[in-house]
Amino acid sequence: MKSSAQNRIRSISYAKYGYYFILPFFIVYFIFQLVPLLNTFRLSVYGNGKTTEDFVGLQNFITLIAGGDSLPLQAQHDNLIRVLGNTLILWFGNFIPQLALSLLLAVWFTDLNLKIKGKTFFKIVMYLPNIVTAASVAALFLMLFSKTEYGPINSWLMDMGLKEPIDFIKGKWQSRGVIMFAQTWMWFGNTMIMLMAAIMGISPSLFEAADIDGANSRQVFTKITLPLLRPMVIYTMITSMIGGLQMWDLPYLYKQGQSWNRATETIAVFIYNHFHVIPQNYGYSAATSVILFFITSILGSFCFAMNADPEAKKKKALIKEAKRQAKLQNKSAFGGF
Amino acid sequence: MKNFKKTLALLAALALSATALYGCGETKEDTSSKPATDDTAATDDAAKDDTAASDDTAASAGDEDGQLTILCWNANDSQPMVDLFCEKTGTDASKINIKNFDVAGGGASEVYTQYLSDPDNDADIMFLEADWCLNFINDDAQTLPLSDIGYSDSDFNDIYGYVVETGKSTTTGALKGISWQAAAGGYCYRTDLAEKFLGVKTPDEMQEKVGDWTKFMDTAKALKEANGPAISATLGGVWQVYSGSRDSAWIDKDNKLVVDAYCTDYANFASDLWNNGYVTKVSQWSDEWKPLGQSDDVLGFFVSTWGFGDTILTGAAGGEGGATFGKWNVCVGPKEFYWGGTWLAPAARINNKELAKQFIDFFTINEEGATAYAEKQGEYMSNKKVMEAIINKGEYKGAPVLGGQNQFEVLNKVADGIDMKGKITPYDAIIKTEFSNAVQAYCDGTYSSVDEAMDAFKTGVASQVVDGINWD
Repeated sequence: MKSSAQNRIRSISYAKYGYYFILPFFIVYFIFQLVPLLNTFRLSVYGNGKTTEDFVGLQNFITLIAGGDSLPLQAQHDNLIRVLGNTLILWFGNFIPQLALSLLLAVWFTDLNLKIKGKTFFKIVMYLPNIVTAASVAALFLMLFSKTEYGPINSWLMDMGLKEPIDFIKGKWQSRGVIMFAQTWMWFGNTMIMLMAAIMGISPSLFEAADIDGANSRQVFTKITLPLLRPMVIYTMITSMIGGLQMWDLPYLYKQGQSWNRATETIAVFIYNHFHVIPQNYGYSAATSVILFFITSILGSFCFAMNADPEAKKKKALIKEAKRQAKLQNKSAFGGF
Repeated sequence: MKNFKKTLALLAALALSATALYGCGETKEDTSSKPATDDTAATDDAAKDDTAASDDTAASAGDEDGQLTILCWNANDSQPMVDLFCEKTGTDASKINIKNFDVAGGGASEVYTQYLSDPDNDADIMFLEADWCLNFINDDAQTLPLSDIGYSDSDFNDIYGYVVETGKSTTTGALKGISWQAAAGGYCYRTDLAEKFLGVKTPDEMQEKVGDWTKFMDTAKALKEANGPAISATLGGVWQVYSGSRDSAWIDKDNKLVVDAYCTDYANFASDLWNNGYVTKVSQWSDEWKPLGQSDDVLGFFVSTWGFGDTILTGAAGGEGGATFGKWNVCVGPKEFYWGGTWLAPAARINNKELAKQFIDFFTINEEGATAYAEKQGEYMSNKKVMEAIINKGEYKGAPVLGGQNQFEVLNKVADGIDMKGKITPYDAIIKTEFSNAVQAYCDGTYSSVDEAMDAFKTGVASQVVDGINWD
């Protein structure tokens, strides 16, 4: 016979304290993330400007995706296509050089044969831009690339013999180029560190074996490093893609005065402007967010599908086939009908 | 010991949640206090902190004791105003509650709407910025006509016409807001450069040279031909003035956007200025803008009442004792214009009309009050009589950057000459921004023709104003 005290002790569930501890996070998450998130979906089927209170069904989506007869409707559609294009251009333009640069540096820094001096120093220096906030980066680049003859880069270029100052701030490809460069500069250090971690995770015996077999460094890179790096490259790609599609800070801040640069307005800036600039068009803003959500999900799952190892796929198919055979055999073993 | 650890961990977790929620106390008390009450003692403390932090809102919400609540986006104007008001009228400072949202002017409209969406939040007087004041003034659910708190239109006979005109609702025509400031502006130019290149010695002579847009252009040309400076620092500055030259409203009677000869004229005018180097390629408000005042590349800036200090002109001169400090003069320029300003409007939920009227009176039609504020803050008041009295008294010698000229004499002429009658529409801020952006892009070469720029202008307006303008 157990005492009541013993019974009570047994019935104490310590698990509930765990829930208490994570409760604050969930409360904060619920109020500040989940509710606004669901509200975005709700707002996307409501009107704009003066009709924010009216339910309009899928009208916002139709307008944004297909346009319409009148100027305001067609303008929404044209703008969405434009900002979507801008976003993709800016993302590609910073992701590809960023990945190439970080991959090259990561391979160099992890190569034992190269014996680079001051590795830690370089790693820190290359990571540093990532610590600087985007606001400061934008201010810095605005100063450096100021479009008149008074800007440092332009005055230097003109000293070198350039006749007219280059408009780095409002020129279509010039401004895009500066933003791509700034994004690459900010993020290549971060990507490099991740790729280095992944390379160092590859068993050194593979590299040694390749060395003994007389593989040159290009062969080592294409046959060992790159295939084994794939999961990390895919991971980088997914995170960069999500970040790239939501790119807001630099494109928003890299402008002078009130005027917008239409060539660098990204989809996130478009959403922000509809939401915060008067008159507020909540409907379009929310509908664009929802469209962005679907684009991200589709591209994200596409990346995941790419990540699936073809070997593993083949193996899976083989196992399936074997099972099917076994089943058939079982059937025939019982004689069948 | 075990208990102690447990309590400690719980306290730590609760403290974490409390800090996470602390920040939201000031504007959204209800969301933050809900989760806080769910938990135990530790969060109760945090909840108390929250209410302490949001004391001002809590006090205003009930508002049984007739407090005057003033909505504003910073305290630069409201605080000195309230201080002076309390000092001169003997009003107890606790009777006035400044609800300062502390955001940039442009963001204020959004936070006001949010704040006013809760019917329990009190508001008596709203500060409204020129650019978006019509959003509230045209909304009868948010603002009251001044006649409802005891004014008649003739009360404002001494106020500059444009100030009264801008405070009227464009839908009903009722006067709903009034400003204590008149932000009239003039053309400020370098006296040394003007004498060297144009042989101009006095502001009156300068006015002869830039009295209208044709003269302005001719002078700009003459300056360039003499290898002299650009006539204006930025195209943005020219637009600020040119936008005041429009004869008709941007939206016509059929509710259509008017794209007329004025638009193409300006586009051509601007591209002439731009491509011939009559203005520099620098953007207004960029880092390089003000230092132009110390180079010899620029003859003048367009400056409004509030811009004679560090904001524009003193900054451009390099500060006190700067390279060109004291070498500036001001004249009316090609066209009278005003630039910004803050309007006072009684909120629809006003529950303290008497004090609100007294407050608005004090800074507008009450000559004693307006004079006291002008002298204390160096502000250019909207009361013409008061300003003329101050000018005649001669105690104020003008901004030091002008080296002895009193800018008020010029600005008085400007403010008198501004005529806004019937030209104001609720979308002016958007329309003007889009138009000047389109013209700027045309100058930059983004659009190859004026027509293309005008199409971009229309599209730009249409994508922001989704209803309210007829496009057929």
